[in-house]
Amino acid sequence: MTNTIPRNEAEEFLIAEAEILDDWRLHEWPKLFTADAVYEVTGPGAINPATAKPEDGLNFLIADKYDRIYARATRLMKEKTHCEYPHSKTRHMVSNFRVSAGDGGETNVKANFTIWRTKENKTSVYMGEYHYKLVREDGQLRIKAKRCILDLNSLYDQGRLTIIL
Amino acid sequence: MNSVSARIARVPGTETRPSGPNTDYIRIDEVKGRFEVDQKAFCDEAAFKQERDTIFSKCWLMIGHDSEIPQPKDFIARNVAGYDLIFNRDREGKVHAFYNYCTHRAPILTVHERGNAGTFTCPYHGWVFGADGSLKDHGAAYGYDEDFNADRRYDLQAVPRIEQYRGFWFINFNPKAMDLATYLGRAREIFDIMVDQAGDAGLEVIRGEQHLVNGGNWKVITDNFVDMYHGPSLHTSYFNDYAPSRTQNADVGSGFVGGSGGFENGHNYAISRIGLGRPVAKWIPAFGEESKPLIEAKMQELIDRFGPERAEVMATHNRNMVVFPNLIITDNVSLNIRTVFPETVDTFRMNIFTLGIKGEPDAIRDVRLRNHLSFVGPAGFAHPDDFEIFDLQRQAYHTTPHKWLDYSKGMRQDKIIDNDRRKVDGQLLNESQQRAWWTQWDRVISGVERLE
Repeated sequence: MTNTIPRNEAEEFLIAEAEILDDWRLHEWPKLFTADAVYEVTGPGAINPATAKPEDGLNFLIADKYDRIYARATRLMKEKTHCEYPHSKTRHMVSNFRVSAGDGGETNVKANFTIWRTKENKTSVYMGEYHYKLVREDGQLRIKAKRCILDLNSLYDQGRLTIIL
Repeated sequence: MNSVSARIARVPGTETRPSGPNTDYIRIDEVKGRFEVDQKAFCDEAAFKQERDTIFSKCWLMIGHDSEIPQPKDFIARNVAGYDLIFNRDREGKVHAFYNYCTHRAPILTVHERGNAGTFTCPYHGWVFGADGSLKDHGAAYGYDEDFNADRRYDLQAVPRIEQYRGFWFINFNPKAMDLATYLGRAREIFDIMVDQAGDAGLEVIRGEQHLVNGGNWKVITDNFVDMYHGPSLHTSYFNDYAPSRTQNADVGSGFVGGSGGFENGHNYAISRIGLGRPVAKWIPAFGEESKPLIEAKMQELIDRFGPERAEVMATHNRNMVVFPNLIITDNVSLNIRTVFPETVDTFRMNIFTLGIKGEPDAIRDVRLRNHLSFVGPAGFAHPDDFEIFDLQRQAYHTTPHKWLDYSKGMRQDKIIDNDRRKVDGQLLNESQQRAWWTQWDRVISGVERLE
């Protein structure tokens, strides 16, 4: 239990991540992850989204390992990435933090999110719950897993997911 | 809509060229090799209504797959062409498509997306319907004559026609429609290649379909999915930045070789040999060593069964196809089917399903699903860029002064069979396949093609 990351430290870390995303400093974002990290967004049709695995079915919109975490951030900064260039305006709202001890010295952090995205004249909202596994690596907090569970049944209002949640 | 003015610039003495168009929406100039579609086809409420009354009332529309309702009483509630339907098996295993509306006062009968049910009960007055559609109970002690349903008029109403080809079930709202096999014609060959990949195990729809609504008239989708021309341009960030490292194929540009064209009834295709890995059956290092022997074994199985030539086609060619009007098949980095419907004249609704082989190893399933997410999913590295374009088209269709949208590329190189522009062989990066689709659209909407 003593290794569990304190709530205020986890909260500051996630708020700092949100700032990186909203400021479009995406080159910094992959550096927050461990080399074996995963970044996942469960799909609106996901069955048991908290425990679903990518090989079990089409339960995900995103199931990135580190190479694709890096590729996603890199691609989003390019002018030829038409879906996000010019960049949309985003605002990540993170709240309701819950911290608990995880396996192998990991800290599980749950938080609620609401993310607003405006592109051209259309505003979309993505809402749900974050499930993070955080570790301390060389004295730095790092993300070992980030799963975003969307509270949606479809993408009827959003159409697509092009930003990082 | 039939208009003489739309038939322009027919070359004297070339009666062997295809006839048409039959509506004002399309303009063809054989001399200059121009095929154009009026912007109104994409933004006019009149066209939207015509499509509802013709295209979506006369064509065969896919509703689902065998594997989604394997057992008696299994059901899926699904919206097709704007109608809420129940796709199910009755107690004897017979497949039905019923309207998902109570025959008393019409509320949607079941709000569950799927399940196993011998009966469906309306929550309002308690009417109970069997899985075969028959009214079992009206929840009332008195007030109805005993024979009030003697003419079966209160049974669930079935969609007039439901037929299947190799496990893919289609419905048709026209009772007199031609049979499905005739309608599909040579499109069956693409289904055969898709289904034969699975061998004796068979295909299954992998649980967790994706639904979305995006800006753009629905026809931007049918145009887009067989359009290879846009690949090197719009998807630079995928093919040049992401794909090379994943596929070990840095020369993707030269991989845009293959053919495109159309079949009878407006079904069309683009078949390419872009150097992408495929779960069936082209291994690339990015898939990981674990999957290598499995994918190589799959290739050997196909060679043993179908011979090296057909195995090569099945396992290394990438196929995109539109079964007219709205079923999209993509057999490339993964195996997907989509249906697209107009939500409004300016928005489309898309259902995305991905297929796998029943019982395939986890390592292959994992490759399949990750491939799906990387490219074609709504959060992938390619399709969201298309979706951005669709939003930009939506705005522009209403206001562009350049009202004739161009589909001319390669028109004079088309090899047209039986003087029928729908039956065409073209080059991969041309627009022959779209001309075939639009020719059928014009014929169905004008009533020239009854599909009976």
